[in-house]
Amino acid sequence: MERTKLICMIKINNKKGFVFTLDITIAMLVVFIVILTSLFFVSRGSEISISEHHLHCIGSDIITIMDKREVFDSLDHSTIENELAEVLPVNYEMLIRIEGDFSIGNGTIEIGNDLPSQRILISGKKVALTNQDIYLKLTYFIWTREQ
Amino acid sequence: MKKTRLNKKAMFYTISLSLFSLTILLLAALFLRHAESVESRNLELNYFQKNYDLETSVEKVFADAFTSTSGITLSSNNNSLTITRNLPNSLNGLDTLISQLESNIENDFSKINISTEEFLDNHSITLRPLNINTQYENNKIIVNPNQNITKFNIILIFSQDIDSCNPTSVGGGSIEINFWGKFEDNDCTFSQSNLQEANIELTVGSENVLVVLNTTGELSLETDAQADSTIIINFNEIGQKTYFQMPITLQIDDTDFNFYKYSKVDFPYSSE
Repeated sequence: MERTKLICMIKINNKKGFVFTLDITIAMLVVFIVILTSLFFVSRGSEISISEHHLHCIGSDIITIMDKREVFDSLDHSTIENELAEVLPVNYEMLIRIEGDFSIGNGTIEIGNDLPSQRILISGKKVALTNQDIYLKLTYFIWTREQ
Repeated sequence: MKKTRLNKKAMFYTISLSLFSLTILLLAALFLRHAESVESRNLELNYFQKNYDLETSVEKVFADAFTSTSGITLSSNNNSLTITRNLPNSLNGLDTLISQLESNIENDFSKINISTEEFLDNHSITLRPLNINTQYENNKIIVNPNQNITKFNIILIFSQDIDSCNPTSVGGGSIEINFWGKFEDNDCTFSQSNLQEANIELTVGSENVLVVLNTTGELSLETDAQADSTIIINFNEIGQKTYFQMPITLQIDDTDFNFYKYSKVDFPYSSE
């Protein structure tokens, strides 16, 4: 009788232990899913922010290089386009809008690719002075090339 | 008794594992908060980068306007400043361009305010970090007193003959002047160190030329006669890179982002 009682108690305790362990395992699984999801969004978010900043720096540097080389002084579409193709890294595309008090294109020249509809796009503005003392407002748009 | 012990064990396991899970959840919350803070810092970084780019390009535009239109060439190293200028020459073209640029930039960028009054008044350029200040008029160059200056070398190449040359000086100071005025084979020279004052008067093709070092240490060169002038100002050697500064102020005031910046136009490079 006592032996039967003991066996019964052990069986009940084993069931309790099993349920308890299962409970904890499911809880830990939920917790780790939450952690991993938050880490995923954190790392993805910072990647996007860093790449935006990187794009902006590239765009700014390209305009600076072209300005130093006096490329904008020519106000010639082909010259500026060729120079842009030379300095722009292969993974990127760019559009430069040049506005100023000149007769070509009624004071506006656009060089580069068409603006994409569904890509992250960074823009910036700078000013420049040509060697004929013409004031230019430069607006640039830069984005990554579609692979 | 065995049952009580088992219950206590179970309670212990439950509580400790619950606390552990809570800790991990709090860690997850910390990661998310950190990510939000990084996101806002990146936004600020991009914003500051845009403003910095615009500011540096505006400064370059004014610096380019000066170098292309003034007829004045400036260069410097760690112990001298060289000014080259064909005198006399009008600075009206420079003034017009500077005013136009101020107007154009303020129209295109509403958050930028530019002040050019001080520059248009005296056309001064300062060599930093020594603060050697030079001013320019149509027929005059002025070097303001500065305790770092040790020597002036002045070369004037005239296009007409030198009719007269009268240098006078007073010793007892610390400045050295070497002056050479030349037209073909005719020249006027003056060289002396430890000067307190100096006065070199020339008449060139019936026009007056005057080089004056006064007791405060100010040097002025004034000429109505055509002359290719070079002034080399020697100063105590410094270990830093020199650059020029124009008294044209840029203010960026963006109330949307609570951002304000004030700066002056710097030439971070020689104008040669």
